[in-house]
Amino acid sequence: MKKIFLLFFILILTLTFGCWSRMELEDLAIVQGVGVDKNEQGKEKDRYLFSVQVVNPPAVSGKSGGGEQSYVVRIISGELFFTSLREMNMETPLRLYYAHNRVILISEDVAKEGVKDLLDFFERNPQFRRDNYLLIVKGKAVEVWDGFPGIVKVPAIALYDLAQKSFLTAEAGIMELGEFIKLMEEEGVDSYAPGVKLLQKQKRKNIRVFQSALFKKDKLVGWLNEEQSRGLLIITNKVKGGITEITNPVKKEQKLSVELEKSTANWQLKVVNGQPQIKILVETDGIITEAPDGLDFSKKETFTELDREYAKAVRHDILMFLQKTRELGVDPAGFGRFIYRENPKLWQELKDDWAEEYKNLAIQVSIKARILRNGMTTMSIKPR
Amino acid sequence: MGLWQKLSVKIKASKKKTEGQKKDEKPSRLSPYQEKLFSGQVSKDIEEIKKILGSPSDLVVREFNYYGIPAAAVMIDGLVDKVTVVEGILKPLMLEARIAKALPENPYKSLRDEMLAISEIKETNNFSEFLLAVLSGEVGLILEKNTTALLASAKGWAARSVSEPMNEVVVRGPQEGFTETLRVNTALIRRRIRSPHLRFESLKIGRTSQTDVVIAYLEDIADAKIVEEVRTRLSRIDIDAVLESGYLEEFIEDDPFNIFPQVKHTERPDKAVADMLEGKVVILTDGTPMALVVPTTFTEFFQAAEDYYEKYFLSNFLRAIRLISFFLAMFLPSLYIAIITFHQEMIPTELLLNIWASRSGVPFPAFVEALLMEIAFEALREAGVRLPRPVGQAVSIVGALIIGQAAVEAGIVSTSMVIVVAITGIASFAIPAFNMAIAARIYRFIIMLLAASFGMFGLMIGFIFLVIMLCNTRSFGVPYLAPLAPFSLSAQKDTAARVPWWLMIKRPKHYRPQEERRVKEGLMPGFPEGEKRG
Repeated sequence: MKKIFLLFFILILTLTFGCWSRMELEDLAIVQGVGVDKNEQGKEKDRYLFSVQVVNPPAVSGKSGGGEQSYVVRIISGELFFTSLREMNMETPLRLYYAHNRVILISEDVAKEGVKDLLDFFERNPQFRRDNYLLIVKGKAVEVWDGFPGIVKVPAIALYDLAQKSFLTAEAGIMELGEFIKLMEEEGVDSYAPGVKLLQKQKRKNIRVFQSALFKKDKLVGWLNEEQSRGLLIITNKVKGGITEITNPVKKEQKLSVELEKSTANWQLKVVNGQPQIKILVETDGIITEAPDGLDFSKKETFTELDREYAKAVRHDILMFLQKTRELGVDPAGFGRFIYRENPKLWQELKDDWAEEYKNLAIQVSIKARILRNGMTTMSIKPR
Repeated sequence: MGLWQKLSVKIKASKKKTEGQKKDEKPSRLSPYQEKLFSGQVSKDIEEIKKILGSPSDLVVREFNYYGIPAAAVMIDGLVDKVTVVEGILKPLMLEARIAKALPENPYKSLRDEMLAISEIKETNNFSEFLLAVLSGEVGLILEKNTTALLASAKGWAARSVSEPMNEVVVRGPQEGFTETLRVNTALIRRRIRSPHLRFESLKIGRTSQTDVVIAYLEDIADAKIVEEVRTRLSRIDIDAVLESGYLEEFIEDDPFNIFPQVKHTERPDKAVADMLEGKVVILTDGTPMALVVPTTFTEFFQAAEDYYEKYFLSNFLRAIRLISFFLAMFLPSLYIAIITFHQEMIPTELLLNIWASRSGVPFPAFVEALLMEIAFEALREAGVRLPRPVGQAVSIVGALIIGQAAVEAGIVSTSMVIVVAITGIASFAIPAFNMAIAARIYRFIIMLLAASFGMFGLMIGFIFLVIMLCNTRSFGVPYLAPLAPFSLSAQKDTAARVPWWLMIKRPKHYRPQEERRVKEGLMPGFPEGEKRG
């Protein structure tokens, strides 16, 4: 009798108490991108305009007859992220599901006012992944959601892919959500995030991921351009490719393009008279990808000259980066953190006024650049 | 687990009680005639026989005169070989005896020693033994004034000849299978082993059926304790009839509440012999081509006869596939349910979108959908197995069309679920042992229920339960997960992997073979030293 009771107990346990967090897949609206804009007409209570991009799976997976739009953009205004998204649920028959979210867009205007209150939601909610890409929109996030024509059916996925392959040019400081928050919270380093912009090219819409937005604490203070962004990536060892234009050593007015193959940066800290000195040694290899004219690759001297030019170009990027960040007094490369790790005592002296100290920090950059190969041909095309 | 164990302990206890009461006495339907002896009067004895057997239409009683003495041959029509009876028994006794000179001094002795041209002869004086022999196909001879009857073996009945095994097909390897006749089966084994240590121990089980059962083993290899255990477990059985070895299996297995098979069966003599060579015991039952093999372990159910005949590369690859298939057959539907209803974040986005699209419009939750499909599939399989072959094909066509296409088109099930069920089905076919596949198929439903209630957590609970259960199982005292848990490195040579023959130097230890070595060391083929390849 006791055993039968136990059996019933187990049965009841599985059949009634189970399933509490069950969600049928087709009841979910799969959100691929979340965006925040400033609500210009709104008052304090709804000062943000939240937008989500939800996929229409049948259209994406090719199950529907075609002609159906592959995504839906929902907009709602409000102050708190989650409250607004839950309210949005009241306007969507399906339950919004964020575990497959890929990109988070924050408009420049919002970023200037600070993002820490907004990001709290992403940290707290279990559905958001820390590897979502965080992008700062130059313009309006809502517009970006409709920015992609053609091939990739969902703009949010396209944005994600764009961010993923941005290493090809190394012009944008790509940033994941988790890393962004980590950089924001750490001492002696400021966070950054790539920019994204809707471009109109001959009446065609296009989205571009480029540049890097610089943050001081949680507020956007300025932008690095493409070269400066590359400088940042090179000295922080995040560069995996990218094109650099160098001057043709023979014809000064002409440019050659070099693709970065490999790059490593080493930092060294020296303290001279109680003042920190940082030495950055960058070793980089490149490949000639375009050399229109005038070079003889069969000679060793050509390569020596090219090495010099390449080093010059890389140094230029890094110096431009240092100049810009010093102007703004932000330290996205984390020199402060480096000092903290190497010499914590020294850091205690510097940390209170690090922004000012950084402006005068002695940073020495030395480049060891090599051109490895010249591509499939040694000669340029010579019509006769 | 606890519940089952307690239950089984209780039942075992009740068994012991009955065992204690009637030990050693297992009367057959013939035992009432144990005391009944032959009278010495042919006509009286024949009458008695007819009375006992109820003069059935297949009872043949041939009365004749032997040197003028009344005699009779008693046999069952259909169980004896007519030619042997005529040439070996009736002809010499009736014709040649007349040509011979005079009445011998002792007619009975001359009958037994001089006249009968039959190789196998027995004597008896009671009806019980006489009738059992006659009912098994022997010819009974009674002579006037003699209280001892002669039993001449002239067995011969319509039987299936040795043919290809139906369920254990190999591409390479012997194509002989056991038959329903016990004698043929023992011969098939004997043909493969010419060892004086091969033992066939015979016993009769079944009050009504008196079925012959043979325990076959190699005395110099098999552990005597295991053989003794088999003997005791078999002799414990008291049932009215044994029609198939499955009857015995349920009486001799260690844990009757375990879904996993603890006794292996095979219809391949080569497989049975290979098992005997590892120290296992084979139980042959008359009337079935299925031989039982004990003890057995979990990994054995993933080994096919062909593994040892084909090159070991292929065997290793196939074993890996079979193991994967086993896990797929058991866990795939539950994994799918758990992920679809609880852990949507675990699937790659593209796949998620695909499944979303295929599931939209499906009226049932994933669990119900899976249950529907699995049951439909099982029904289809069952129908295909039981139906006559020409109709079976029609069933598979209907099944493929209805389940594969119409159900999806009608929006009752999703394509992704069809794929999951199909993979599960194929995977369960890839397990070579049918009884292991059944275990996987049934246990799958339990895990499905767990997965539908608790998601991945439930699935893991199911898996852990399974492992604990398997660890607890024993087959004739040998741990079920034997070379894996308890772990034995040397026995790993023939589990998930199969090393080449020249490396399988010792027999698996967990069967406790008396003689461990089976291959001489250092037999790896290679070029002679000093010479170069090419």
